[in-house]
Amino acid sequence: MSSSTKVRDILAPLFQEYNKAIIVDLSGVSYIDSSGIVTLVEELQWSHSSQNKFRLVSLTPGVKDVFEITRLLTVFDTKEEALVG
Amino acid sequence: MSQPIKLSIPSHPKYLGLIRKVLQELLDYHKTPEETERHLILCVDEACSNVIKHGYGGPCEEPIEATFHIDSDDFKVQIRDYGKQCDSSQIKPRCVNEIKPGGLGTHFINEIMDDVSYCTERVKGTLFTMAKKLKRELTSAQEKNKE
Repeated sequence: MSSSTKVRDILAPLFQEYNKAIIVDLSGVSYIDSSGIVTLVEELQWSHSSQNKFRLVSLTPGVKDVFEITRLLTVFDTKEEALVG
Repeated sequence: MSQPIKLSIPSHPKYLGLIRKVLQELLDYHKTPEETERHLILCVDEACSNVIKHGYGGPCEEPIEATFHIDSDDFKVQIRDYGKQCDSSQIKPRCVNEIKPGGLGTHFINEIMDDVSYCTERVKGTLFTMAKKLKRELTSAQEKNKE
C-alpha cells in the first residue's frame, strides 16, 4: 500500500518518455497487495492506450500467488523471453 | 494455543509490514504451509489497509488492534478500529474483470477466508473477524506435495 504511489510515479512518465516496451523486473518484490495489483493494471491499461508493450518478469512466488487469486496472470505478459531483443 | 496474540499498530501504511512480519512468525511457529501463510498474511494486510483507507479516512496515528487466535485447526483474526463504522451491506468485492481502486482487497478476503463478519454494535468503530480452517489447507498442501 505504501509503495503503490511511488511505483505509479516512476512508471507513468516512462510511458510518455519512451516509445518502447517497458519491462518491470519483480525479482526483488516478495509481497504485493491489492493496491500494487491495481497500480500494475493501470499501467497495463496505459500501455494499451499508448500502444507500448508492458511486461512483468521474474515474479516471486508471493507475487505470483496474488496474481493467481486475481486470475490476472493471463492478462499480463510475464514471459521471461521479453528480456531478449 | 490458548492465549491469543494481540498487536496494536498506528493506522499508517508504514506499520503494515510489522503486522505482516508478526503474523508470519506466528504462522511459522504453527508450521502453516507456505501458501496458506501468504494467503492469510494478504487478508490481514488488506483488512488493515481498509481500516486505514475507509475507517480512518487515510493514514493517521489512530489504533488498529489485531488479535490472532490459532488452534490446531482454526485460524481466527479480529481487527478492531475506532474509526468510521462500516456499513457491511455497502461492502462489495470488486469483480476481478473490473480492476479499479477499491474492492479488490475485499475480493481477496472473500476468496481466501471461510468466514468473514463485521460487527458495529459498539459506540465507535468496527470489529472485523475473519476465520479459516487450517486443517483443510494442511491436507490439500500435503496432497499437493505427494503428487
